[in-house]
Amino acid sequence: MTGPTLALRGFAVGHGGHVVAHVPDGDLVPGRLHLVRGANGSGKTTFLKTLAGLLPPVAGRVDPRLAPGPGGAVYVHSTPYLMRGTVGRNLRIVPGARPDVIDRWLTALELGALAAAPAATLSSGQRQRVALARALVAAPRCLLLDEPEGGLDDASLARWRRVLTELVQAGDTLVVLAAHGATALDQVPVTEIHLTP
Amino acid sequence: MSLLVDALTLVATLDGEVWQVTAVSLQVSFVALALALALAVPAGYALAGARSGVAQAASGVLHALAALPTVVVGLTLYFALSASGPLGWMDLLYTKAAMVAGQTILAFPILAALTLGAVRRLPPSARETVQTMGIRGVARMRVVLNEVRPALVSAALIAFARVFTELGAAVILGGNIRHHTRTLTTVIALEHTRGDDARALAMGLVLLGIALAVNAVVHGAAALRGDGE
Repeated sequence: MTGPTLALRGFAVGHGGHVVAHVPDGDLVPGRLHLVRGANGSGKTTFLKTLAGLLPPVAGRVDPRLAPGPGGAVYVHSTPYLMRGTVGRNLRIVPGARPDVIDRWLTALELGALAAAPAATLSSGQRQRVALARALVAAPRCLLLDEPEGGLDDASLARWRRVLTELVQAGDTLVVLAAHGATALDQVPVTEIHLTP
Repeated sequence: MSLLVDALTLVATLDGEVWQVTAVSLQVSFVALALALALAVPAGYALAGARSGVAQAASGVLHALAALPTVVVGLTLYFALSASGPLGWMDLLYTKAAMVAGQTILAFPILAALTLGAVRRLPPSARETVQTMGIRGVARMRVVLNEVRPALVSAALIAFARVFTELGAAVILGGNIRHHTRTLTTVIALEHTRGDDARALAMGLVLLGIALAVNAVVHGAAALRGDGE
């Protein structure tokens, strides 16, 4: 376990100074899956985006090591935005992306055959996998996943969970995942984060 | 009707001077468009990233400037470039450079306004994706502008149509000097004044044909690249 631990103390998130959710004090630690729980509108997305540096926290502070981008924090939307052009281009736009790393994640998420396909022609599940691969190419210190399993069919889901399990077990990446329903990873310990209004 | 027949006959038998005039028109308008693109697209991109109020105000001003009458731009620049004007030392009046300057000013607000609008209409998830991927500076501008490329192609076509077909700035700043600054629009006005309406109409058909051809070529190329709007 070589990754960083991230302490959350007195952390609150929201928009324009208005608190949407308070985050319980605790530590995000490598080797565990951090599962953010809450109903629709409970602030899960706002929390993830704040950790990702896309929104300022209303209270508390975000670790400066988590600057957005490769080696920092990377957020994956529940409905990802893919850039115009091919699947391959979507991965190559990551600053400093190496071809071997791109190939590795294309293969891991079974996107190799789609590398030259226009992103606009993909199904929602394929788009989701491209967005996950793109985030993984950035080798983030902290990976923030917003409902990442929507649109994935059973085969994709099994493969994705294997990738996620290995990522958590490798211990180099803090993984925080917001999920509405159940997300079961059999082989990794889970810390649940319950947001309160 | 006989005028149109005369004009069409003339188009088929147009002399070398017509093609020289056409070449001047194309040269001035393409250089002006290239300059305006180089200045206005980054400006529109930068303004799109400003605070919402600033971007909205800038958009309003640019849209208003897009409606600037060409003669007003021509006259204003004429005063600036005339011997007694502040830019008189540049000695540019009645040159293609002066016409390029005028047409660049005409194209700039259109291109900047449409770039600004297109970038601001991108979904928030597009901006957040670029940000969370750590794409910064010039690389961010390139990625974002590529996302709005179909809109930029449309903007460039609109701006080209505006400068290629305008008369006011071309005639005031270029002076309609034969073999030098005479363009399709300035020669049409001249031939009409002389009473040679068939020749004026023939030139008009050439102007229209080129404007349509440029549109067709750019739209065709965009469709081949999958860039259609």
